[in-house]
Amino acid sequence: MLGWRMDNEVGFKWGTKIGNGVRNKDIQFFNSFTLRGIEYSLYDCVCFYSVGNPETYIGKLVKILETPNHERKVKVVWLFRPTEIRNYLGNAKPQPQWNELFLASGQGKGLFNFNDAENVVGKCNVICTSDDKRNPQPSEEELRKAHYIYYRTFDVGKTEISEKFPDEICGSKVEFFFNQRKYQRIQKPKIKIRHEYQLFTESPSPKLNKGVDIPCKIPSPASRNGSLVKESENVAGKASLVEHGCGSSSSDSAKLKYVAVEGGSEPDIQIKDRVRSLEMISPEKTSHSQPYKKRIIALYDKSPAKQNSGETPTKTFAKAVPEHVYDKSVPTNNHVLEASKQPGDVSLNLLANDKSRVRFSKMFSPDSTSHSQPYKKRIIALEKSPAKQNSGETAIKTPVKSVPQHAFAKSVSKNNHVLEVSRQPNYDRRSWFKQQPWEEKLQKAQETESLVLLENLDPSFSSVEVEDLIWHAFNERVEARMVQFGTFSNSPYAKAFVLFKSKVAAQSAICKWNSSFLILPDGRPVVGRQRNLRVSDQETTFAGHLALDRFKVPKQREDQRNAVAVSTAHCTQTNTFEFDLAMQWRELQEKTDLWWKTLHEKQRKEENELKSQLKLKL
Amino acid sequence: MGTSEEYAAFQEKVKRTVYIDNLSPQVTEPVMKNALDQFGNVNSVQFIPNYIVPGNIPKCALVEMESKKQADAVISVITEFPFMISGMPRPVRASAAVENMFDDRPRKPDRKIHCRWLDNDDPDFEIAKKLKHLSQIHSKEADFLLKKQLQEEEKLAKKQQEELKAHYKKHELMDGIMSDGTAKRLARLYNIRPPNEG
Repeated sequence: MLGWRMDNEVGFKWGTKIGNGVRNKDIQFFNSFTLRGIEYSLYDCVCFYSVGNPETYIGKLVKILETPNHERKVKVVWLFRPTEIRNYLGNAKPQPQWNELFLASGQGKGLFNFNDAENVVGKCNVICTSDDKRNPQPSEEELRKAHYIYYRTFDVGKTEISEKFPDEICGSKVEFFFNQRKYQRIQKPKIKIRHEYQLFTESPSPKLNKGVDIPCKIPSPASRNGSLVKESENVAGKASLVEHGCGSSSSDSAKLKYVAVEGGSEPDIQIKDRVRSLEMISPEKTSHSQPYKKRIIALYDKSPAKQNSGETPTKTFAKAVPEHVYDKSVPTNNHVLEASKQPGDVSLNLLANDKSRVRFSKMFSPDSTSHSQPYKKRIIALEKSPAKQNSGETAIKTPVKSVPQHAFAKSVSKNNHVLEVSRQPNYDRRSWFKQQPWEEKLQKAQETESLVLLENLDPSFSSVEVEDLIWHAFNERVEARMVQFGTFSNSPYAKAFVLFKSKVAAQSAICKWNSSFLILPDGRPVVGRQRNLRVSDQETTFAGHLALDRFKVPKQREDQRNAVAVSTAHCTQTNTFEFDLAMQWRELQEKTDLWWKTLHEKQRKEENELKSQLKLKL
Repeated sequence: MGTSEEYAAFQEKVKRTVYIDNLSPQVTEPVMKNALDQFGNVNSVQFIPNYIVPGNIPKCALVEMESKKQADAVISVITEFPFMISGMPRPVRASAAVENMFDDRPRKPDRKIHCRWLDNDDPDFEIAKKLKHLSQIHSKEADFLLKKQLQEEEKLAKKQQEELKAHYKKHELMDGIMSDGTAKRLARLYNIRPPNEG
């Protein structure tokens, strides 16, 4: 497929040459090539189309070369999809995620191939999330943008999956297979960063150009020009968002930046760097500008906090601060400069020193509310904690175990006192009397209307703990049972049935609950209400079990694959019709799992936001 | 009560237990035992009664096996291959049991719970109210999702029933003409080889 083809037809162009072959001097090696407008560099992950296969093959380019016959070849080390190695997956724990790939390693067939460069159909964004020390950890932003991830290898010789990466794969050092350090070269431009940020505060365009022109001739044999294409798209988006946050009025700077990117290739490294550092500030591409304002405020507020504690954050900070933050003279702000050294970790390093800050950054959840209050309050709350020198323990999320122990006796005291729920007295006595089965008790309680359903509990409570809780809160002895985790109750809230001694007791408890709130350590109000037990009806039908109307009993032929089976359990074989049906059910199951997961996450977020407003510590 | 040993024993039990759901309501304990016998010894089967969720939802059970290895085997086979109990084609699902699933679990040792009452004049009162409200909203959302899910499942079941019927009809047709000789006659008429039996 060859050589006579004009380059322009396919849009093929070589990038920079890096050498000739050792054995065969006529082979030329390159470090990138452009095909159909997309630039592919060494160690990029690309896709290949394969006939008859709905999915592309993904691999990493480890060599790009032109043979003496003017054939353009690439050597590709494969990244297997789980389906490609499904026979060897076995019990690989954990199960592969839908976007997980496996890097080929070892020796044998399937490790790599030489393909025509023209057969590359596209690039894909693959990030290595391995914990290996040699792997630069990806930032959250990168993870979000990644199409695929990998952290395990598949040895093609031994057909084994492993989380360890050998020292070399297919003749290349394994470091090349990890995430690339994009900004290794940027040791110098500490000062440059400062320049860049001035651009944000003073919007005039000439300064922008100045920033761009700072010579940054960084010779880079393995320049990541390819990824630029993606970044440049993001720059515009990110830049405009930052603008909102910084309050700077001109939108021209955003456009100009974009232009600057397209212009040359060298200065782009700075812009990328800018973009990197900005990640903390505006990673989302949403059109909602509110969150970013807050985020910036909150972020920058931390630094001056050390100097003036108790300074309330205002929005004017945003403008003045960028300079402030990145000014070398302020010692606390060296974080940012450190950030440039470890590009993978910019977002965390920005708040590296104070642990509470780090947690703070992780707690950001800018979406959903347009309410700016939570962030302010959060800041205040956090400011207090470093003041207290609480070694990073924030006021907001305190796990149950670490709550400082208040010396409370078992006496019940209300109104802002923290109750320590310890064992109720006479606990042991309960087991003296023969207990009726729980079912009967439930029914009885419902009849006498002393049954209360307690919601919003921590799922890790046990039944006895609930009983103790009620005893302390109401001074009532009750029986309680957690509602077991059924098919659909995988939520952050747990429920329990509580049997009060009498209707009156139940009613009074409910009244109390309606008027004031019983708060658990993590901020949840425990809610109780009357709830009827579900009436169990005749469960004869079950969605998913099929029956044929006519059932040919005498002749059960072997090839009647779609005849209803049996009352025994079995696994299906892949060639039966029922297998297809089963797969459809599986698919539905997975879908519903996803729905629940997203719902729970959303609910958790909403809950956490509100909880963060709780001022008082428990 | 509430000692560490008791809790440790409980944890041990949890490791050996498999949580199975998407079970038909008609599945009973002996059926479960039979079904899972191939994986090893089943110590006990406990169905989780459903008191809260309205409607007809699939049952679920906690099956305690003899050893953790057996439990793992159950889980891995069921996840890999569609396993059906008491009817088809809806496969059951299995996962490792978690402590929260047991309602008779012992108290965790060394765990202290703290709680507070909030009154009207408490600064956090408003927020607590909001939280309570929020939790109610959440539970309504969960109910709604549940309803939707059940609807989807029924839809799928109906669809499959239709497919099955169609296939069966075809099959019957084939069967019919084979058994009453129509096929043979037609074959002779058209001068093609008569179909074989079976």
